[in-house]
Amino acid sequence: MVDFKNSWIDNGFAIKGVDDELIIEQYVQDALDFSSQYGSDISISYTAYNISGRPSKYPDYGDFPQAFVMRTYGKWWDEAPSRTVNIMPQNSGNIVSQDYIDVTFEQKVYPTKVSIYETYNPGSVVRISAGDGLGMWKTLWEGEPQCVGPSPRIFSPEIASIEFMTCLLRIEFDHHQLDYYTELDAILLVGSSSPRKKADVGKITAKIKGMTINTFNNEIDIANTLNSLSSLAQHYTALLEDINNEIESSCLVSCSGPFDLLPDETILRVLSFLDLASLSRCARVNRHFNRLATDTMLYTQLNLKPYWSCLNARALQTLSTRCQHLQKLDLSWCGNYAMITSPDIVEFIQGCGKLLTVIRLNSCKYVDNRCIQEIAITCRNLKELCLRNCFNITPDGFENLKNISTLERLDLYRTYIESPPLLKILEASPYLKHINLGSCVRVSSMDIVAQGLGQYNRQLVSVDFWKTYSLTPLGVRALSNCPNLEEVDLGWCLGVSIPGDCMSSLANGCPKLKKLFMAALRGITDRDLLPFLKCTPDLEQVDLLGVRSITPHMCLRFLTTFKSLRLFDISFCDQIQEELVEEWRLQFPNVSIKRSFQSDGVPSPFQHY
Amino acid sequence: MQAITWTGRILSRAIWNGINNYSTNCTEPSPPLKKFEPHILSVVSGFPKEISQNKLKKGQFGDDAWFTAKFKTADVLGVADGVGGWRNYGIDPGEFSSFLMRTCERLVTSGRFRSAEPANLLAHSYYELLENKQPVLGSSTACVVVLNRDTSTVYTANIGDSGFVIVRHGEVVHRSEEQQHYFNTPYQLSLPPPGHSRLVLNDRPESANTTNFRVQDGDVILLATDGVFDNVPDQILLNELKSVEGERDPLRLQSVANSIALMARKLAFDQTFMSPFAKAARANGINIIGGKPDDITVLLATVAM
Repeated sequence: MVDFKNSWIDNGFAIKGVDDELIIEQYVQDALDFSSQYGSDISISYTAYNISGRPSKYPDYGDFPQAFVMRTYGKWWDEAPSRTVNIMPQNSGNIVSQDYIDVTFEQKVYPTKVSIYETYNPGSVVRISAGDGLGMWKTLWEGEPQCVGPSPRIFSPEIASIEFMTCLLRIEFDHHQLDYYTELDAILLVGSSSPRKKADVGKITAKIKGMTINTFNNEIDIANTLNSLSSLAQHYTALLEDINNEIESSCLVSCSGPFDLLPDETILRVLSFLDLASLSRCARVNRHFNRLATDTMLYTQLNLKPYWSCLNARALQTLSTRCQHLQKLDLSWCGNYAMITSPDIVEFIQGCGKLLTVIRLNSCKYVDNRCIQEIAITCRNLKELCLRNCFNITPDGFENLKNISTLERLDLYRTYIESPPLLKILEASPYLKHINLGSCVRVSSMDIVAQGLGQYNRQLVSVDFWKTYSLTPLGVRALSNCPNLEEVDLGWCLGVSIPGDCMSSLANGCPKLKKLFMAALRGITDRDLLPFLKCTPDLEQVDLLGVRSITPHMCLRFLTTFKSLRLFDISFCDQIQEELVEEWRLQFPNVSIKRSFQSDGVPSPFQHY
Repeated sequence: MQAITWTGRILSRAIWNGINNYSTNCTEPSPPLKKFEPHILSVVSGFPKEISQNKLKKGQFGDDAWFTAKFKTADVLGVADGVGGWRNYGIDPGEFSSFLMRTCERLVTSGRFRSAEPANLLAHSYYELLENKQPVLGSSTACVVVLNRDTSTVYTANIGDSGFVIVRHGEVVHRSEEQQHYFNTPYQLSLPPPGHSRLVLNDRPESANTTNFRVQDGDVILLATDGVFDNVPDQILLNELKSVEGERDPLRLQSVANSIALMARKLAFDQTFMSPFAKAARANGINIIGGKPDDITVLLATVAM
């Protein structure tokens, strides 16, 4: 092993010659892209930005604003009223990723080691991929999330070698097994200026390890398996094209043996359990199978998110011929780095969008006004539209959505929507049930929006105002017009800090509340929480993080009153002693009581002032 | 006798602090062959008011906090003085000022600021307090000085009674204005505990007093908390500052910073001395004499163009 001495240069990377090659260690230069963050875009606390540079907290362990934190942990979000239904779950395979972050480094290298500094609740990293910045991705490592103890760790798994130099990494996360939010301090990329030697035994072992024979669970296996087992195609994309070419040129008579005897419906039923990659493979067997495996009835629901690393415009085009009856489409995470462009989406929607009821385009940066316009024109029955992190849509683009009157779910997390188009959309959507307006920093008055919700969307079930600063008690009061409301996220709505009587209105107006997040509403007192005890018996998840003045007495009443309470976050509530929490945990084993902490441990040797 | 021993101890602590700072400034890597470029040479010195009770923390003297940072063509210095009254509420006043300065430092080193807008830097840092899960409560005065090397201009922002002095050719050429609501009650940024907001003075970060001033080679910049300005008469301060005009030797600069800090410390505890603080008090009809015991922070810098 090479001995790295810390010869730091300005931007945090070290160079040391070893024989004829150069070993470069570098920390993240920039967080290029990510799927979610706890913090807000107008701040640096708990944001993705914090992953850049050297570790600032490691080896301290705790909940620090200097770290990168994402929005979810555990299974709570899957149990909340706002949960979404997974489309084509068979595509996801064993390794499910919920979040990702793309980070760039200054120097391109052949990676030899990736070290992830986890300073709080480690264990959620499930995949590390290297990109060339032009849309090609290779997996360096993947594995199931780990259950590790509450101590800081540097996660540096054995990584596969790749044939190109990279300065772009994507880290994917699965938070399901976590007890609380995970926090990342830094990522160190170690690499060399020359590729690993061909005779490297490590490489071969890694390759064999990376191949899971007989289970084709996800794109990585496909890629690996095809690379090694088949010379026909390298990617799913290529596979798709290949099939088409083959079909056109072939004139073989069908001979599927006993399969010919089965009715098509039976085979289709069997095929419907297959993931997309397997379907494509079936389509290569013969004409009979090809006809069946490309049957439009198998493509009513399409989840391409697990294939984000290899999906491109041509694959989308090929698929469009089979998607005449497409109803649900999840294209999230796909097509960035110019793999798919806005016109491709427009064309796809034009061709296959007539019956679409669900469209998820989360983190698709290329989605712009033109796409939204096309969706608004073509998809007349659209019920769900998710546009998280779609920055390229302007208020004018959003305005098109007012032409859809069937919307039930609208996710606009971290988009640049503004109040006027949003109000028009709300007015046009009487059936709206779920809306996510988290971190929509350009909405100048969330109060008007909340009043709009109270006026036009009485069927509302869930609303997320996470980190929206313009919401005040006035807006919260307006929400009490929605009697079906089951979930309200007012986390970090600092404008609601001094709530007046709005919490009372909310509790009285929304008796079905199940999830109530009020993180960091510092001015909330026992008096504001009292009405919930009386009016909302079904509360399951309550977040009171940083609500400084609530008393142990009130917490105990919450725990005893709400029989179905499952999640209770009372982190940073200064008046609640740790001993009491321990006691409650024994007394109420069904409730997961969360207590986060920031500890001043031993000063980190990495810390630089 | 005892006095001498603690003076010795704190002096060595002060020097240690200063050298620490000096070394971070000096070891910050720069291309070795590049020619001399304009910069600020800065050192720090200071004393906490209650020496025995305080753990010495980097970047803090008691309730005072400071930072120095640079990004591209900007050198940034800052001091903040946590308002001590919060101790009665069980709140450590040093936490607020320290968080404010640490955040400024993070913002500067990451380039998230504009050198001509130091008030925005303060404001951004202040709003970052609101974003912390653990509520950091308290209040603080703050003063930030940014030297833009491209334009040879310093941009300053000041809230409250910390401040800066710029000395050239033996004269004060530029200095901060004190902002007070009334005697001994400076403007301050604050985050009161819930329920106390009405009783607390809370000045918006936007109310910072901002100035800009063109500096020349050799100018001396003193950035200090009220522990210095309230105890050391201007003339004495000026004499000290004069002696380091154009100083390039960090050790000599350090010794002057130390002597200013030590002087402030001594005068603060001199009960017969007619300090600037006592004079101001008398002007407000309060008949007192002697220095004002307080935390002391001295950031001393020379401009090398």
